[in-house]
Amino acid sequence: MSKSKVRTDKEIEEIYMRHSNTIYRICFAYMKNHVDTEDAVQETFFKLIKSRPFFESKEHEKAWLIRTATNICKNILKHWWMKRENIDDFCNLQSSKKKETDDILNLVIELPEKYKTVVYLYYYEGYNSVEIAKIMKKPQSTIRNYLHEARAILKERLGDDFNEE
Amino acid sequence: MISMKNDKIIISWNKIKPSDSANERMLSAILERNRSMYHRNKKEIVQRKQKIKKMLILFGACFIVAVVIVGILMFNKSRTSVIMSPLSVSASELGMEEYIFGVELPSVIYGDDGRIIMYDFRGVYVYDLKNEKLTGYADFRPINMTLIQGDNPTFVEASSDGKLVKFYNNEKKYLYDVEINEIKEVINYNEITEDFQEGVVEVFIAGDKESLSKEYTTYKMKDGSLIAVILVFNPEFEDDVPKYRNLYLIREVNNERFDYAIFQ
Repeated sequence: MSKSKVRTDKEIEEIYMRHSNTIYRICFAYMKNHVDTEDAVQETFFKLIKSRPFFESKEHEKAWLIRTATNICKNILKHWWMKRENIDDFCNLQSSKKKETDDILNLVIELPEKYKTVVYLYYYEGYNSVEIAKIMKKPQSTIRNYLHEARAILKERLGDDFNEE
Repeated sequence: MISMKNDKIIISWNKIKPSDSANERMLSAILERNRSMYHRNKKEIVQRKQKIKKMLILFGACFIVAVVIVGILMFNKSRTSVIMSPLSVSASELGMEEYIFGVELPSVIYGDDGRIIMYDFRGVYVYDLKNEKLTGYADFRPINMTLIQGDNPTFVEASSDGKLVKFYNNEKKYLYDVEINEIKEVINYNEITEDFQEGVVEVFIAGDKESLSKEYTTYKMKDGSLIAVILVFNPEFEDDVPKYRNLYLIREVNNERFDYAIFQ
């Protein structure tokens, strides 16, 4: 049986301050606008409060939040797709939200969903594929494939702007 | 962690972060949820404790009831166990010499064309008329119920079909199942549905009652037959006590007479 922990307001606030930017960016990659991102971030922390997971380290805590945020965003999007019968409405809504980001980030967040968190963790947070595999609880080969495929797309779309070392 | 890979992507991502007002909004909503969850958890813990307490009380009560029931069953079982085997004392061991003049003859409590049931201070006898022998005997001696008169006497009754015999005093109750030759001590006779009403009438038949060599009592059965129990003595006396010779049963049905010598 896994341990659980009821957290005080202070503890929750500390966790929020530590990881809010990371979680916000991951959620933004999926939701593509600030209003829905805020909802997704809140849902992620609500899940933390409800599930009361016990973390062995700060890294464990961060990995849990990243995974949870990713799953919550995917669920929200799935829910939208199921509810929105008119695809045109959805496309219009998505295009109107693009204005909140610059062109380079637009290309990143337009990547297929499965690459988004991996790309964020690799390019922004600076994790390697082994670390990302641990965080996402996925095989290293899968993560390497995702990165390879995402890199190819970004190279094609960004051209000279994509100068990976 | 390794070094960042693409500056332009990093710069773009850096622009994405919650505003101060957004941070305040999100944090206050999260803390509000934490507080309500905390109170809910507290309430749930109290409710869970109460539930556990109730279950423990219920479980305890059930356990006590179960223990009591098992105890009663065990007690009943021990009380109703077979305490002796019928015919543990054979007819030949009854000791003919124990019959002395002046002691009451066995009393007949049931009789039909198949068997006669009678008792005296030593126990209950079942005599099979077809096989002409004693087939059942409940011995009163090992259970100290030989007193059939006086204070706290042993009462003996046969069921109207002759299948069961009750014998009891103020302290103990026994049930003798004649059909399967089994004797049990019982707490009461509540479970017995058989009719134990008196079906035997003692009658006087004029005859040679005055003879010193014979003493007899006659009973009238439900089916109208007459059964006489006759104790035959040897006319020779020894120390002023007549010697016992035998115990006879005479059954008379429709003016036809059948004689049975119990101890051959």
